[in-house]
Amino acid sequence: MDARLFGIIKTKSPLSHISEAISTNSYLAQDPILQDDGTIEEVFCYSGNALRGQMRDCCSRFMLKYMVRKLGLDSFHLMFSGGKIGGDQVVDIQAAKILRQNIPVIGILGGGIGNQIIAGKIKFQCIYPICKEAIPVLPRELYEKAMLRTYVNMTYEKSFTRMDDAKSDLNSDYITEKHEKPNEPGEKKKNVSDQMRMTSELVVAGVELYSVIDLVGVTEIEIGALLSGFYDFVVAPYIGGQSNKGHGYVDLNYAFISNSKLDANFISIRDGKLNLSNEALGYVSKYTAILDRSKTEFITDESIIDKSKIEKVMSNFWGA
Amino acid sequence: MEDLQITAKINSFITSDPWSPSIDSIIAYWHLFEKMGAEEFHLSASTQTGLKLIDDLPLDKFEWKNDIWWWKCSSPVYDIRHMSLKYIHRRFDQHDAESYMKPKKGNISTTAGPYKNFRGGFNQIVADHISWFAIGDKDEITRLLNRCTNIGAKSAAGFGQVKEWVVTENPESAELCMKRPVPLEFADQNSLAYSSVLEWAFRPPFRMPENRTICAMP
Repeated sequence: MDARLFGIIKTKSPLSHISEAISTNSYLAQDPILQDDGTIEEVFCYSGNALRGQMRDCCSRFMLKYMVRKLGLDSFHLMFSGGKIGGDQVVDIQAAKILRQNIPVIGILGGGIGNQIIAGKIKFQCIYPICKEAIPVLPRELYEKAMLRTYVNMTYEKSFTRMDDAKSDLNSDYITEKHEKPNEPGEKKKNVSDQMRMTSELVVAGVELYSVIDLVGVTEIEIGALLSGFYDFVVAPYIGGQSNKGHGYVDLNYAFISNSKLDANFISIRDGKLNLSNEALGYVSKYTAILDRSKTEFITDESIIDKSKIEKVMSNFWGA
Repeated sequence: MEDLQITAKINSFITSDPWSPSIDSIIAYWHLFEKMGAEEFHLSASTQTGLKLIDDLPLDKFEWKNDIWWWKCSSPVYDIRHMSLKYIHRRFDQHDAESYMKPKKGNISTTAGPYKNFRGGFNQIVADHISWFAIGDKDEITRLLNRCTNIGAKSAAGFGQVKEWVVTENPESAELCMKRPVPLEFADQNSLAYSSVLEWAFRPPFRMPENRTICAMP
C-alpha cells in the first residue's frame, strides 16, 4: 500500500541543526525557498536525511533489544548506517528477498548488501518551520497559521563557555603535572586563555515544524517496523545536535493517510510519553509477531525454493 | 494519444545534468513498479541483470530505424532561480556499536574502506516547476505520476518533493518533444541543433547498454 505520515514536530527546547561552522560559531542549515513574487528566502530546514538516519538507528535498536541479540560488523553497518557496496560481483535476488522478509527494517529502509543496493520504500521529506516564508513548501491547510508567524523571530544565537579545568586554581591539588611551561626568569608573563566561548545559531523553543514521511508499496508489517522506532525514540525524544546541552527536545504528532482513510492521531509524543492509535498499535503487533516468530524459525514464502539458503543467509546476517 | 505538457510543481531538486530528470524514465519507474509489484521491483531495480527493455509505456514512440526508437517526450524545461550546495552525511554509529555489535578484534577504519564516513555535496537547484512536453495517454500518465512524491537525486532524503503534478494538453508538444537527446546520426540527418555530444541513453532504462549510443544533446 501507499501511505503518508504527516504532522507537526514542536520544539520544546532550542534546536540545533548546523550547516557550517566558522571558527567557534555554528550556523543553522537553511534552504532557499522561492517565493510567489520570485524572490528567495532562506528558511531553516531540518534535513529528511537526518530524520531518516535517526529513525534507522531507532528501528534497529528496537529490533535488537526486542530479540536480545547483537550483530557482526557488516550486519551492524547495514542496519545502522545503510550498509556498503562492494565485494564479489554477484547479484543474489533470493538472498535479498530472504533478508527483506526476515528483517522488515531492511525492507522499508533499504541498504547495500554485497554488490546490490536494495531500494527503500520510504521518503523522509525535508522539514520546515510553519512560517510565512515557508508557505510555498507548506500544505494549503497551514497557510493561515503560517501567515501569522515570521521566520525572522524563530532563530537566535546562544553562547557557551568551556573552562580548561586543568588551569583552574581550585583544581590544582588534583592534577599531577602542569600543562604550562613556567616562565623563564625575566620573561614577561604570558596571557594564557583558560576558557573558550562558542556561539550556536538555534531555532527557538516553541516552533512548529511540518514533517512528511511518504511510504510507497509498503506492507503492514513494514509500517509496524517503522513505528517500532518511535518506542526507542521516546526514550530520549531529541532531534538535531547538542542534545547533551538539552537542545532539540520535541513533542510530535503524526496523522496517517492511506486509501483516503485518515487517522488524525496515529502517533504522538507529548512530554516524553508515546501514544499510538489502535490502527498504529495493530501494525506494531503484526511486526512484533514476525520478530517473535523469527526467534525460533526463519520467515519464508513459496518463491524461495532453496530452503537451505534461508538458513545460510540468516546465519550470515546474525553472524552465527 | 494527446499532445501534452507535464508539469511538476516543486521548490527545489538535485540533478547533475540539464537533461535529467527525464519524464520517460519517471513514467517507466512507476509503470514497472506497478507491473512487477513493489517487492520484485525493489529487489531487481538496482541490478544490471534485472534490466529489461520497456516497450509498453503510455507514451507515443518515435521509430527511427531497425531497433532504434525512443519515446516522444522532451528533456526537462525549467528556470534556475537559485542554486545552493547541500550536504548529506553518513557515519559509522560508534556509540550504538558498543551496545549492539559483537566484540571485534582490531580497529574499524572510518576514514577509508567500506565503513568510511561520508560527507557528500550536491547542487540544489531552486525552481518553482519543471515541465516536459510529450505525446501520450493523458489519464494513464496522470495516474502514474500521482504516485511519484519526489523527483531527481537523493529523493529518499527528501529532495525534489513534488507538490503537485499537472498534465494539460498543449498543441505545441509535437514539435517541442524533439528537444531531447537523440542519436547523433539522426540529429545530423535532420539538421537538429545541439549543444554537445555525449554517450547517453535515448530511452529508459538508462543503464541498459542497448539503450546507449553517441547522442546529440539539446
